[in-house]
Amino acid sequence: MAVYILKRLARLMAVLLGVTFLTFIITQAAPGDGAQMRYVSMGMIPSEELLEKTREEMGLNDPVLVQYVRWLGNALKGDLGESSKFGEPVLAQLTKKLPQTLKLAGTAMVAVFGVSLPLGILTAVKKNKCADYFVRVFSFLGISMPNFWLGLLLMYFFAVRLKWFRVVSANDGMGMVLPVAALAIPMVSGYVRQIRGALLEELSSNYVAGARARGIPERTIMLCHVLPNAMFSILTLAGLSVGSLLGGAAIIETIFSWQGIGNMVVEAIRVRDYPLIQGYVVWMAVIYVTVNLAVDVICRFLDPQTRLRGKVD
Amino acid sequence: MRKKWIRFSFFLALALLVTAMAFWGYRFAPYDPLETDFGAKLTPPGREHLMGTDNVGRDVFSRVLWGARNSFSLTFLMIILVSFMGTWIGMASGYFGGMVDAVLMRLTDILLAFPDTVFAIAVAGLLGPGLFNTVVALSFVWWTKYARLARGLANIIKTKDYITQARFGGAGTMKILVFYVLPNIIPQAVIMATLDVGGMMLALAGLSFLGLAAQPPAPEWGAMLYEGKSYMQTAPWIMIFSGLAIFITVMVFNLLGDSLRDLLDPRET
Repeated sequence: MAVYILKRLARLMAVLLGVTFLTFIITQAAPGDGAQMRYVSMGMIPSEELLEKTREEMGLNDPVLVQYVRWLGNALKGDLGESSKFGEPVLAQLTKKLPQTLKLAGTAMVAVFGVSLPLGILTAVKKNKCADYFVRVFSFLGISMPNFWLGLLLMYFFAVRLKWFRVVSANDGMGMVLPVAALAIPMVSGYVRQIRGALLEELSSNYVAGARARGIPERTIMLCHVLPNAMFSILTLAGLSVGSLLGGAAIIETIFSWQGIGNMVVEAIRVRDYPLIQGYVVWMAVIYVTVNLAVDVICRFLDPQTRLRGKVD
Repeated sequence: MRKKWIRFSFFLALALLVTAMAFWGYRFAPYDPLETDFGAKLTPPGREHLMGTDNVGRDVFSRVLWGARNSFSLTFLMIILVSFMGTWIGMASGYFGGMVDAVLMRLTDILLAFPDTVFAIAVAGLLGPGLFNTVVALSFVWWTKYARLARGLANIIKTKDYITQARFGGAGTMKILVFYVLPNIIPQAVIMATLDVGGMMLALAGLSFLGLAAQPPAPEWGAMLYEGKSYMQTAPWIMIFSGLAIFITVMVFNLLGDSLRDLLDPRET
């Protein structure tokens, strides 16, 4: 187990190094450099000599690899540079905005599984019955629905027309309803299908037939045998969904003016605030990779089968 | 089986119809999509303007029709680009193995271990807004899926007897790849590509919606939604119709992809 976790941690480090290096390279390819940005954000047009001098000062003339190692060293110390838009350290900006996004994404996650798990069970139990078709049609509609359009529609009907909510969300509980719905609905649609699939696969296995033959009630089979077994694929699904949640949050936050990290990065992109964008990528990578590592470890810990298989390996 | 064929043919016909409408529909556009008419700005849908007009009096219906062309050509271009790129890279990687394979697979590991929307947004953001940069950003994150698929298949195929036979017959590496390996990968890649059309269209529209891809005033569905957002209170029809266009198209292609998978994949889903 410990070896497995160590192995995975090493891989996590490799992935993080790769992601940061890739974004670093891309920043190099991006138009305009740090020196230019610094003056533009101060509202002045620097002369060529001044630019050259600043570049030398900031170390922008060094080889890319040297710059990357220097950046990495700083990043490990918690220094991700300074945001030119907000005029404060990137890390401070990120830690200020991140809780808002986590609140939104976390609530959406709870909503997603709170709704899709019962619906998934329902469709699996009532396979090819009326309820199954009904839910499946809806889930199909939900998958094809762009979440930004859904966000706009929800806003139009519930905030503009019915006036149940404020158009510009107040970053509070009430203001969270619409963004969470816009984030969750398309994901629920996808998950109902996946959970249904996972449950159906379990239902077709031999132990279910055995349990049925012994006269164990369907409800017990479902809740005590099938669901725990299907839980591992569902947990993995949850880990992967963190990615789409964080990506979707960027779009949804701009619609509802939710003051989170996604809204921030879109702003940063408009004003070419490279250190901030870079910091965002690094943090997203850290969150996503860590969550998935945690999920894998939990699954392995809970599932005796993979635990045994690990010993055989 | 027959039922599946019928379903597939139906959705294929529907998808072809939508595609034809996207590529030739603009001929039936009643107005110029870029022509402004301030006298008629923010007109609600009616007989004059089927889907109303936007904030500078451009006809929304004409813009949706023209936008279809832009959205579709971009989506198809992207799909062809990433599937071609990914398939070749993956095939070579799987067939040759060794160092190349190891390096490529670590690279896909890194890219797959990262939420693609976030990465696409970041790459497009770092490179700066614009259509070309979006294409670069999306291909950067999207090819890995195809590479993984092609690599897995190539790995299996290369051990088959007919490859050895072809080699005995004097076929060169290139010939083996093109005539014996590739044809066995293409069907799977096509299923994946069909299932991907909807997702790619959504990704492109999403980036346009953030103002990163297509730039206004060019008619493009995502960009139209972006413009319509500001006028939601006075002219909701701008965002309703452009979103509806995306929704319907994505749904048709999702249904097509689903029916194709059902048809070719014997496993029950």
